[in-house]
Amino acid sequence: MQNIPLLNLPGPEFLNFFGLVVIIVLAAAYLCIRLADRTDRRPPPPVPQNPDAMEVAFLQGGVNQVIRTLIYDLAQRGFVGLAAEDHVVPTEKQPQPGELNAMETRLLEAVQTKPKAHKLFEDLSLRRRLLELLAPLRAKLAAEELIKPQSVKIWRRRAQIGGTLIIVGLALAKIYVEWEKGSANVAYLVFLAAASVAVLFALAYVLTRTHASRRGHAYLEAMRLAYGGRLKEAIGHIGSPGPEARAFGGAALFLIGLYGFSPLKGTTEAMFAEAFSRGSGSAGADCGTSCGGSCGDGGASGDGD
Amino acid sequence: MTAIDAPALGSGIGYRPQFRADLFAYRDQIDFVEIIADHYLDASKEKLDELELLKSHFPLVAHGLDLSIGSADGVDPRYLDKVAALIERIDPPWWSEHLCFTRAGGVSIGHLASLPYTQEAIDVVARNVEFVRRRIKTPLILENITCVVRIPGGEMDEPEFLSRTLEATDCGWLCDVANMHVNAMNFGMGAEGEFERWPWDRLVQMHYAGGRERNGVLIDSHDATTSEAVWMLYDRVVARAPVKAVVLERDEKIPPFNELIDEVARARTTMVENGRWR
Ligand SMILES: [Fe+2]
Repeated sequence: MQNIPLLNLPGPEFLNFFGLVVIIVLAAAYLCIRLADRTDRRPPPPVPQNPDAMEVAFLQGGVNQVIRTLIYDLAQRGFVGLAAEDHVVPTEKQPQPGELNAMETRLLEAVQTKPKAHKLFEDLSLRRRLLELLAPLRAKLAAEELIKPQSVKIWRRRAQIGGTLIIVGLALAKIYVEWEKGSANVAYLVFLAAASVAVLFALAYVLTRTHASRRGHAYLEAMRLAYGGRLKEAIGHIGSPGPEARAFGGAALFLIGLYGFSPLKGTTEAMFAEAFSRGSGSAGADCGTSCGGSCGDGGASGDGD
Repeated sequence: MTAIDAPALGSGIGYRPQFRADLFAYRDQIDFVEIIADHYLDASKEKLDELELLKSHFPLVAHGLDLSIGSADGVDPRYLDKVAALIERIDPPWWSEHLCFTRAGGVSIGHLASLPYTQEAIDVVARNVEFVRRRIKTPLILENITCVVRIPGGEMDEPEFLSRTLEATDCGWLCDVANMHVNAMNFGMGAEGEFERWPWDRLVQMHYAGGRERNGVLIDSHDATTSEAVWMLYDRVVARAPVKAVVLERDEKIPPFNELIDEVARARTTMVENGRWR
């Protein structure tokens, strides 16, 4: 190994070379992951005339967004409320048989223990059940190439493994050569290698964290462009009695699905935005608390594929 | 004879951003959309995205405001370039402009000004249309406008002026029935035989709209529902000539969207009854 000239470069020059390799690895990882999703070769489907709130929510933010949307729906209909310290609590109101669908029923069940808002995202059995119920919707979205294809996951793993091997391998080789020479000043190189691997994983995460494929994103973007203007109008009617408020009820779910709770900030229903953003990192389209390491697994919700 | 060879588009609406969400929510009830070309000439990214969105959901035609096809000093080539780029982008079956002038001596006058009904004006328009055609191959159709005052020295009346202009330019006609009605009200009805003197064989598209009266004069304010009198004229025109597309124009006091849908449906019914649309 001592015969390899690159490994015998003096420290600063080697670090320059090392930096160059890291940049190439990151660029290659970006390209691999980016090119694994070529669903945007087809234009997005036309925006629906009556958008399905659950479809939009699932596409926008996976199970987390579905939970937000369902909670808002149940609150609008008087089945749940928000209590002190962000607890979601059931109300006195009991649903009539057939009044709630299976997902709403399951969520109402989850609320009986009066969990903190963000704990709902961590309720694994709730997530599992919702995913089961969302399976037909998921299949439909997948058939339209609106959900990230499997190939993204495969290429992300390849990029992570391959990139890590190159970065760590190069660093170890240099450390070995230096160690053979008897010099031990490699702390900075160790730090740089660790930081580079971290950046590689962060990049892979950022590129794959959302549920929607590129075509799915274009579809959501078209919906925002087509219907976003309604949001302002609808927000203006929140808390006002009368027919406008009821009309908002219909539009609300779709908009919550599309934007999360963030638009409610500054309205009489701001507590939703607050309760669900505390501890959840984001009230909007991003991951909830349960993301952790699994979040990259094909969606914001970490719900597997 | 038909003025241009293009498919019928049906009953559409002039696009205004205020009702964008409703337009998409009710898109099965709008056959096509007419955009104002000038709103997309120096367009922001957001306007271009909006245009793409419209294009991917509706057949589009473009309606220009400031070409000034009747200007004696010619059309502005820079403006024309921008329109050409837009037309290329949306690829409509035809596009339209007003038979008027909006610039004089290179300065914009801010409104659609009527041309004198003279042979000289016809020659100017013909020359300008030739210039435009060299840049934009998509067929141009010309719209009759309302007249605030009749320019003295006219050698003919409006139907003859329009007919001879369309003849000289070989352009199709965008018949705005509201404008026709306004002119008839403000300057007196022609004799019963006058209706037949309009260039029906060049008809391609129609506009209809509501207006209002100000100081005893009817204006094309596009801020009210279409009046019964305009509907009567509309029905008569659709029965008379093979119109391909009709557009509701509404710019001010925009009502709940279902009221606009009702007007669009009303217009479509007449088209269907006369075999102009499926
Ligand atoms: Fe018009």
